[in-house]
Amino acid sequence: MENIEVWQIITFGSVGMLFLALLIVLFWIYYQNRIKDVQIAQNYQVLKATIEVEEKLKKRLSANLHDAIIPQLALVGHELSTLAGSAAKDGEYLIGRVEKIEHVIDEIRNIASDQVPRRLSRDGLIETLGYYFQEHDIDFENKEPTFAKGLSLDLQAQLHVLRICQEVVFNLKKHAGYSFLEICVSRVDSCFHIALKHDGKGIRTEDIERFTALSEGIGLQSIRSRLLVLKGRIAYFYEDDTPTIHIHIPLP
Amino acid sequence: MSRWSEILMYVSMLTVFMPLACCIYRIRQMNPTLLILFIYLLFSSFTELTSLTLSFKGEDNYLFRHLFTMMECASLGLIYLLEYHSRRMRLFILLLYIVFAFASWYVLVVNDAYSKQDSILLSMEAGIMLILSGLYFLKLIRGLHIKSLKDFYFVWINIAVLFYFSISFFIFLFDFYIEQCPEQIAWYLWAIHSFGNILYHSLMSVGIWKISRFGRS
Repeated sequence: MENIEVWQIITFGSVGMLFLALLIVLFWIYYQNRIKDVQIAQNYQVLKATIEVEEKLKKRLSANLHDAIIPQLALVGHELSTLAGSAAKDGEYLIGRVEKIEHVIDEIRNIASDQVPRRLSRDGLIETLGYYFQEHDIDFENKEPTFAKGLSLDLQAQLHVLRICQEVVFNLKKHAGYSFLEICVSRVDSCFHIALKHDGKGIRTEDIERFTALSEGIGLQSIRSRLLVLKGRIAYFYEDDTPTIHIHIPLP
Repeated sequence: MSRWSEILMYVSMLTVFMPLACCIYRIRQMNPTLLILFIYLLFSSFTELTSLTLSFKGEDNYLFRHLFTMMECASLGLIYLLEYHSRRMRLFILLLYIVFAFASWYVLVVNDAYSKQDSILLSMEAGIMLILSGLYFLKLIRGLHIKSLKDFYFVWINIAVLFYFSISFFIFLFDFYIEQCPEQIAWYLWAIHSFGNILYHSLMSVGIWKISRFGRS
């Protein structure tokens, strides 16, 4: 045997060992990444199931409201209106009560039929958002003309986006104390992008995350869980000292 | 060169006490795997000490070495038998056991090799351990039950087995050559084996140290 063969063996052995070590490191990284993916998928499934259960519960609740409460209130309203016609003395007072009950019936009916709002299924998300913001005196602009023809999100996803927007606007009304709110939707990096700017009290993402973790209310939790289902994200920050909120929803 | 290799060899022999000490320290968390490891390491330390004593006296200890190889294969195989939970894998390990036992009987008794150097059994043992270790990695990736690999004791033990027996397999594959090659080269190759031994005992110590986090396998 010549010496050159010995060094070949030694080199072969050393390279082999290094290769083995590299394989173990790669296995380690691959395994941990797979575990991470599995955990994310499991969390996502749990969340999806929870939201589905919540939606079913809401549907049942609305059906019960519609079927059990509204007829009874309607009956009471009818009886009161008959009574108001016959009782001249307290007529006006009773008519006032009847109107109140009718108003309550309308409110409940609206709530009950609001699971997937008729407007959303009929006109799509952009139109519904426009209508909703107009109702609340909010400037709304759609910068992406193709959105008007319809979004590639399914109805359930559109409902999630609508609920997120409603919740964010509700929170701004409640806590920010703004006098001006501007919302515009556009397409950014194949995402449905919603930008909200206002002149009220601003907040940063880390503070909102802290509030969400501490909060026992369902508003912030609902935003978080809906965003998780949509695989979207929300950012609260200041842009040129203007409080700004960006919502990104990936489009399929 | 040979002097450094010799020192490395003695150090590698002594490193067996490292996992043994960890075993004793973790004696309260004793599970079947640890119990078998403990017995194996006791036997391993005894073999190393005997080898050392006999080498100082200039006598060979081949019989004792062969017995140790058989014991090592049996105990590590038993540990894998405990760690694999599928019936198919357990049957496969038992089959490997039978093949190895038959090969041992043939080599040592029929071929009369109990008092001489023989690398067939060593290579065979290394091959079996490499198969079991490789399949264990496959089991891990298929199951994905362990959230953090670094905290799972058997991963460390499995890596130890993979490294040690890869090096051993490589060395024993060229065993015929080590006997013929110049002494300096033989020492160099043996130094690689000693390095593998140190790595094996170190990784095994880490594994035993982590055992308390998981308890029974």
